[in-house]
Amino acid sequence: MAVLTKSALWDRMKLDVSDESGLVITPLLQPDEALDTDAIDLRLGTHFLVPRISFQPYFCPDDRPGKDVYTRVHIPLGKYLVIPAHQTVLGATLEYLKMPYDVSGQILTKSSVARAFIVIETAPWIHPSYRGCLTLEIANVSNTPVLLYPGRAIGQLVFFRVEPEPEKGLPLKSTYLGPIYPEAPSFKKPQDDLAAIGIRKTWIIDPPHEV
Amino acid sequence: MQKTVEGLRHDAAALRTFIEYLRDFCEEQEKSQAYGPASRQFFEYVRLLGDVTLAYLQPFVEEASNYSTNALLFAVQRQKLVAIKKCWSVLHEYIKPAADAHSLTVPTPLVDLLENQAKRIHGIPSPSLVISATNKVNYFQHPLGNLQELAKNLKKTVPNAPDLPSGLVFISIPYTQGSAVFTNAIMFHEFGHFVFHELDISGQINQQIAQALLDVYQQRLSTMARPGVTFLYQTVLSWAQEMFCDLFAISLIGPAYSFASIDLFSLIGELEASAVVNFGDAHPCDALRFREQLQMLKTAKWWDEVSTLKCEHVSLIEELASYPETKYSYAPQPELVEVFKTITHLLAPLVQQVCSKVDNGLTDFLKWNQGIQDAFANGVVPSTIYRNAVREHPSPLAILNATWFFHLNSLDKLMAKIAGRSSENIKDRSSLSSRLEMWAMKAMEDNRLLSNI
Repeated sequence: MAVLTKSALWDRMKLDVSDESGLVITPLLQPDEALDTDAIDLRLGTHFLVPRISFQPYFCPDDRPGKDVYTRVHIPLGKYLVIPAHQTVLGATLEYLKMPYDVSGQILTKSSVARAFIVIETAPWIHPSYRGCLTLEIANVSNTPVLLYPGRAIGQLVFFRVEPEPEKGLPLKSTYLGPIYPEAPSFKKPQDDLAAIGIRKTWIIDPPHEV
Repeated sequence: MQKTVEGLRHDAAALRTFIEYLRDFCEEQEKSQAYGPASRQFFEYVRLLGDVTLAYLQPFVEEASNYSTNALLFAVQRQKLVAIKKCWSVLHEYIKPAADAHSLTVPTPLVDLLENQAKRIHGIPSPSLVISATNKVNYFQHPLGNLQELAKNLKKTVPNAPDLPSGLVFISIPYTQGSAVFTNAIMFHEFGHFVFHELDISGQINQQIAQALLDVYQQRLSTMARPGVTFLYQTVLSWAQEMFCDLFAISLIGPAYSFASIDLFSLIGELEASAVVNFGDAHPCDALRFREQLQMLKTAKWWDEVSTLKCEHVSLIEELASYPETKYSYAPQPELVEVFKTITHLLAPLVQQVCSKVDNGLTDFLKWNQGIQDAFANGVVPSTIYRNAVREHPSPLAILNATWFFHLNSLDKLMAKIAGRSSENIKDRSSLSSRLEMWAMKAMEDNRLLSNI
């Protein structure tokens, strides 16, 4: 697995959008500054999902939409979002990506941001052929509130060539296809997930009844 | 009606509570990051107006109490309070819908596009759009006349009352359509109403309407009561205004407007065969409206592109346009249709004159449409396109029309690339259409950023 260099990224960005080897990153602002030798800086987008106090006694990751545990917030460019100490919000990159079929990516917190005790990812891996803005789990692990300005660089993306070369022409995955905002998670029922590995549904404890 | 000073005090106190609520509510919205400049300007206006009105109420009541022994002078003072109440009642209607239209529920890139296109129209002030969310499944432009008149009256009564900011245009969109690209193209029609008033288009056609009424009604017109004649005139003028706005919208954004009209009219059940030839009190029949739109699209060379689409929207426009005029009807006054037919031809030249400096987007569309189609077909936001190895950023207007073209003609292509999705599944179609709208909106937003650099 080799890390793609700046010139390799440029070459892929110039390919036709229908070329499966092609890379799309848009909007690519200040490209000369954004592209480093082996990574590209990504900026913070303008939409967030902020946790709220749920009406439910618990949140069970299941097939029901998890929308009621978040409040959607839009912070226009030029304004800021305050993340209280020890709080986490979902954000997204400003850039929309189309990953090549043979390249994976890993997003990392930009080092200067990390030194402000902000962590942007706990699920940093991006699969080949992914389309969309990247959802960021932005955690303020410091003891003070931190201001985040959409449009500022927040992460860096590293690209890895997948070897041996995967099959071409595979269909796109429909989960999280082409998001431009952070999106609430998508789960199956725990019963279905567990049944798939042979756990009988009758053995599985249902969540407590909702109030 | 208060006849005593005590009654007046009670009334003024109730008014104070009312104004204070609205003033504080607006201050809260003004501080929020969630509104565009026009809405914030409006909220600021209400707050400032609230401050001076609240400050005025106490001295006003004290002054009025001096006249308590003179019924006439006391009544004059009381009228001032009535004027203040009226103004604030009207503001009450505007404030909440404007507050409901925050940045999560407003198609900001389309609003920006509209404001930019409007800047090229000679003779109107640079507009700032205050978007409101309405509970109606329709779009409205709120005539500013009432608000301006009330604001002027208030300035005469309340010392230091601020001026209503100039250039504010209030447009209501259905609260369900906030993030939509497709139907929100109707906003361009609504903006046409503002232009129609500002440029006094009615003044340019009123003689022809009067003449057409005389020609069709002949002697019967002179025997009609004045309200009857006024009704005839106003109805024809209203139809003319609606048609002007249709053609105006096409001049600003091309076929995206006609497609949006079809979607909206379908949604509210207006495009049934039995209804499309019927004129309403405010609108000409849909058959005539689309006939004129088709003609406008042909004149602007847009139809050469639209006619290549293989979709029902195109055949529907052609079908509507082909209804014979003899089928048009307006039940309350059948002859009024004849009057309108004789002045219809005046409207397109007027629109062309008003929009002579506006780019209708066809050139940009031809330049970037293929690139945008390719991007969508591959699930990509089309804000950056490589043409001949050069990075380009399609204009918002090209994105708007190309999105419609993709939606109507090529959604299947994208659907076929996604695992487990089918164009025959309504949920899949609906979610992919919404996704397409999001991509288009994102591309338009990106364009603003990319153009800044």
